[in-house]
Amino acid sequence: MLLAATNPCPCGMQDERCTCSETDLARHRRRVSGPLLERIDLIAFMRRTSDGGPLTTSARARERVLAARELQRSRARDGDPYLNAEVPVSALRTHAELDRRGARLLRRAAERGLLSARGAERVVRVARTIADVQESSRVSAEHVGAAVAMRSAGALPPAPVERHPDRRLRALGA
Amino acid sequence: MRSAPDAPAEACGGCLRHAWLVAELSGPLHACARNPERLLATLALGADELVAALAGRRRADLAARLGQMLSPISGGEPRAFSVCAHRPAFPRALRNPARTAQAGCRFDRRAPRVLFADLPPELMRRALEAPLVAIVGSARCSAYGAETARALGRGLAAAGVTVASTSERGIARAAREGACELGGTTIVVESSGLDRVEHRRAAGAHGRTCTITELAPGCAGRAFGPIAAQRLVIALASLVVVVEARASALELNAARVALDWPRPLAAVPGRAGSPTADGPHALLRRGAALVCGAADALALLPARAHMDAPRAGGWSAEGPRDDAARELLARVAEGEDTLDRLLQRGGDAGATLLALSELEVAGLLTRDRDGAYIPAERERESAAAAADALLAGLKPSPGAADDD
Repeated sequence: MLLAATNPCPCGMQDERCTCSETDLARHRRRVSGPLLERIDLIAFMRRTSDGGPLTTSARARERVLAARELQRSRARDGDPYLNAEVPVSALRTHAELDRRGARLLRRAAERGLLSARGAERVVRVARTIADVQESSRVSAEHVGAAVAMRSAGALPPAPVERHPDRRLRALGA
Repeated sequence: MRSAPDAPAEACGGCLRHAWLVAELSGPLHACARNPERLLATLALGADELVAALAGRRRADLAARLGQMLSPISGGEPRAFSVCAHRPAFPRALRNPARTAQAGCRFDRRAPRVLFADLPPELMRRALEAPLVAIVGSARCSAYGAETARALGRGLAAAGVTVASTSERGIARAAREGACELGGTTIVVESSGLDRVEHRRAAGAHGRTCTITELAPGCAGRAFGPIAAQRLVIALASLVVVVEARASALELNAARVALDWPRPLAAVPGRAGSPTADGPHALLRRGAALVCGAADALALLPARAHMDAPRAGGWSAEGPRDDAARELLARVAEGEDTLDRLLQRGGDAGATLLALSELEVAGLLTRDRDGAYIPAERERESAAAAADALLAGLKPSPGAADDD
């Protein structure tokens, strides 16, 4: 697993004290290449902590992760990889069957060049994981929407144009 | 006589007969194409005038067949639709109220009377009434010109603006391909009947392309088709950008048509000394706006066109379909630009994220550098404002000469 963090800009202020120019920001964003960004499944923009305090605790989060992993284990056959990140693409369609609205969202994102076929596959895996964390047996459009939002499609450069993305999208049920 | 239409034809019989007549008179029109101005004046003639002007020895025969036939055009292409100036779905840009009153008829005589398209009339109208930027230029362009046109197409598509071009090679094709690369909306005006189109199926799987033509199925277009197509592209456009053109009557015809309609005209400078740059340089000397990139073109789009910019990157998604999505978009525009802020008034996080993602994928929302959602419209406006600021910075101050 790769976990990475970066400052929002070279000076790290991200408020009115920031002195970075647009050129500085563009140069800063280019330091992480597009192909590398495309392989990162979850991107979260961190902001200053609010007064409300944390929404959950580490212990509670751990419980939910373990419960989700147990669900994943129960879906797989003995000996097969069971983590959503490791399930082969051929089995992904049965593990994470999308509803019509979710499949449409995924297909439109791919058609607009916001997701490559690889990106679409990763979105399905993340959507399945979100469903597992919420102890939902089926992957709904809301799970797909959350996965697309966390991939932060709008902040990424357009996905490379693939010549035949349809085949891989069909394999995912999109 | 040809059979009745197979496809759902929306155009009226009179207009379809005119289109049939143009196809029948391909030979004389081909000869007229040596003088583009004369050709366009000829195409503006009514059916009887066309027969009288061009039919020659076939005059009596064509007049008789024209009088007998009820609906002369066959669908030809299984997915061809037609609409004429007498139908509400006919594009507004082709109806010029002043000209209409002057000419004493219901449509602008300079415009084609009938359009054939691969989309149903209502979808076609929606596609054509979005702000269009026409990118025109030489079919024999340089690598620099092709790359410039491609970059313009890409930039405009990224901003959600529809790119219109003819189906010709060179600049038109490069612009279209650029827009298709980013999944943008493109309008392609064919220079022949839709049943003779082969390349449009290869026009990029990632773009939304509406193909239209004024020529009836079966009409090859020959030399007059490209000139008529270019006139139609310009008539539909909110802005015409000339990328490369030689200083010849044929290649500068686009500029003449743009001034005639009139449409805002811009040109991209080329390499000094290159024959393909002579046209744009001549236009720039005579007052055409300077365009060096998509931001310049966006800044030149009329204000209303900006406001009406295609909000979903195409006519298939005509803005938020339901009230909830529309309200969400308004809330984002008012500053509730993160999930946390949107949920402060309550609501379900999953449903809100889904709606945000759908709006983002539809091109209605985008993200700023901090990941906050912003309406795509606002981003376009800031691009235009940045271009304005840049241009203002380049202008010499009033007292600069005195200071020197």
